[in-house]
Amino acid sequence: MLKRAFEGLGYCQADYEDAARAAVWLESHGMRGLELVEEHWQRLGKVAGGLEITAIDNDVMTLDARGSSMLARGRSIADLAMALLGQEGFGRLKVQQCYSRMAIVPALELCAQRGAGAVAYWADSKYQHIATIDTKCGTPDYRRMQTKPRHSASETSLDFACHEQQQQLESILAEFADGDVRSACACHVSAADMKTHYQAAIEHGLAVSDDLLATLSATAETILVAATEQSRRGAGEA
Amino acid sequence: MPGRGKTPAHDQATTPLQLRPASTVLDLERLGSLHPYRLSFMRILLRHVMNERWQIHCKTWDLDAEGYGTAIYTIDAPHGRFSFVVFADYLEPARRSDRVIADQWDMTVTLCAGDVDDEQMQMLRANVPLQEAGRVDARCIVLSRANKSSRNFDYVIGELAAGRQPALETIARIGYLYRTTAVYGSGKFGMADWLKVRSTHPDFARPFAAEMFTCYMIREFSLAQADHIAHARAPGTAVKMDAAIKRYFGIGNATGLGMAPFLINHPQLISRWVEVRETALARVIRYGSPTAENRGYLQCLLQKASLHLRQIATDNELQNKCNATVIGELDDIHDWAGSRELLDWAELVEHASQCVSPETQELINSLLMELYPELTDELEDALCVDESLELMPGQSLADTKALIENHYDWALDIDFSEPHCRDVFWYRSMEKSEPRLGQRGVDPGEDKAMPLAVAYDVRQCYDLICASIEAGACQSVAEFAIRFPELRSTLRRVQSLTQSAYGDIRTNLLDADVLPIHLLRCKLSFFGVSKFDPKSRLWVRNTMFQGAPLADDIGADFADDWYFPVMPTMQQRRLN
Repeated sequence: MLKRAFEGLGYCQADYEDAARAAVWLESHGMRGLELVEEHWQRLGKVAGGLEITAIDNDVMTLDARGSSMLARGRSIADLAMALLGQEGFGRLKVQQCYSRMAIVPALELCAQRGAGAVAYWADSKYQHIATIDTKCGTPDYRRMQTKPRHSASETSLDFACHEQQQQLESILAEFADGDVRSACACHVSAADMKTHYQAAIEHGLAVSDDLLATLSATAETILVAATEQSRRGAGEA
Repeated sequence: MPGRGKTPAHDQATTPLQLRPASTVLDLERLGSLHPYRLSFMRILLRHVMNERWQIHCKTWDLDAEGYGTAIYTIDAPHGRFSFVVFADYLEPARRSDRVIADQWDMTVTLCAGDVDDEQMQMLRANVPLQEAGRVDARCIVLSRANKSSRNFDYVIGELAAGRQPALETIARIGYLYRTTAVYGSGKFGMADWLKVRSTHPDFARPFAAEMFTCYMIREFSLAQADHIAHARAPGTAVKMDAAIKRYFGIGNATGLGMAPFLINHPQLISRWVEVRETALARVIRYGSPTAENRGYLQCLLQKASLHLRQIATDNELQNKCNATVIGELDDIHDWAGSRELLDWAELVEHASQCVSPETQELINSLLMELYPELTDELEDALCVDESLELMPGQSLADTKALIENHYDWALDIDFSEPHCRDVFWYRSMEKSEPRLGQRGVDPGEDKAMPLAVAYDVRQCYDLICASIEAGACQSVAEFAIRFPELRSTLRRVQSLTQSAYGDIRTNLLDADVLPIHLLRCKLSFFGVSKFDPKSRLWVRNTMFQGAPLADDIGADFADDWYFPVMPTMQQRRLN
């Protein structure tokens, strides 16, 4: 349903697949993916431009997401970081003009599956957010800190890095965030928590609100073609 | 049982098995001529049901004299209990339709984990008869429905009520009382996701095992319902149907275009199914030695398959012609193989490849695999695959270009500037999202086409890769995918499938002459259905579980020889 709804919004195939996958991943790991979709639905409907590489300075690639959601772009970010890691020995990106940045979390798994640890950092007016993954665990860890960020993070930017050595990522993490992020944590969803949520989701399924289901259904219907006698012949007997 | 071959473990030091190339195996016409084989899902399922002695009991049988009402069966399998719930309702004959767009059926069913209590039954009663329009929960594993084959149903009831057994010749024409028109699983409509089924229900942890079991139970119910109605109609004269005749009844199925997108959308799974079949065949050819015993058994199987085909009744001229060809060729092969002492099976396979049609070749391959369960059956655990199409982001464009040239040469050979190569498009109708075919420039909906045009998409991708290499525009595939996000899905597919043994089915689904029925039959053969009866190039009727043992047979000796079912003889009827 989610895939068809995103297709109905006009997303290309990879984007609607990625957006649906990210939303389901977040929801099934206890990270409120469906709430994210519901909250941003109007904005998600305004199809934004694709990613654009705007600069490469000091091995940091800067991208303009042109007002697009990380639901659809998360996996592309991880792919690009992994390509950079292969070329430069370090995959470090700064993404500007993006929203629903929580949706970068599922993309961390892509790096771990390919043998690299990864970290994502973003901030808003109240919190700093850090998501990390290491190859041993294979499931992300998410923390939110109330401390106000000192550095230049904007409310629409996201930092992402991947590396094969965890030590290197710790240095980057310190650069991204302010202070001891682990002790100042206001909210922590550990990898173990996420795995527990995931098992429960597999066992019981995911609950979708009636409102969201109605919204998704209505949007998904826009990819359907009106039925006619002629079209019925295109499925077999008249 | 047939002769024994050496097990692969005895021969580990030798070179890897030589599987047939993708260019041969993935040709759509060949895939569309496949017959079931011993690793088809119904065969695997029934081996488990029979050998593990599943317990199937009717717990609730609340049917009126006309057979309408509710039935609940409990199934105790080695790893858990399941419930099969049936709602049999009156359906106006005019509303009876095989099409997915129907909204009422003679029978609606669900397979659930565990027992069902009154509260759950209320929920099921409210939702299962609605099918796609209802919502169930993760306790449900499969949702399905079936319609009576009215003529056959009424005939059988009439005969039983009059104290007679139905005539085998009549059953041979339509070998079922009900036809399923859709079988849903894998998380649809709130049901348990495949991940749950696979991880928590080992009894159904193989592809479509729960769906096939549901069809088996529909057949079981249909036969009991027939006995019930006949007895209610004429308690003084009615007889129960002979077990041998019951076994000759399968469950009908009508399959349309809805199945075709599955094969395109799950290329890694299809590749694995093909790989398993080819591995089984390669093992038989390498390790199986012809002996007097198994050569004799093969001769019997050739005759049985030939008789099975002779007993198929279809109005489809092309299918009749195909069946006649295969019958003639099987008889030729029977004579050829009977006139010499084969040294190895490769000799037979080679002879077949030279002398008979692809369909007969594949049927012979199916029969050869029957000779060696010890070489083939363990492969049933290899039929699942964790599907994931992912980008190889660091790959250079030059390497991706080479990869397309090596693995998708068949797609690059198609000239898409020719109008007939892009004549049709696939879309979903507002009527229950039913997939349909439209003609470009004629039918509306081209702007909403489903993304099934693999060959065309690969061509587009290849051309842009060549242009980018020429311009020196991108270093990696990841950068290229960011510049051309609409190609990202094709890139993921192409790169991922080169890791699969077989990859994409080799066909252009946009071609004016596309035959979707080949896709349907390919998948149905892996399910294990028989008696293909095409109604057009877009949909096919077929029969499932014909000849299979009944639930009452569980516990008796099981020979696993119910494939290519033929009409029972009078002697078999008397024995039962």
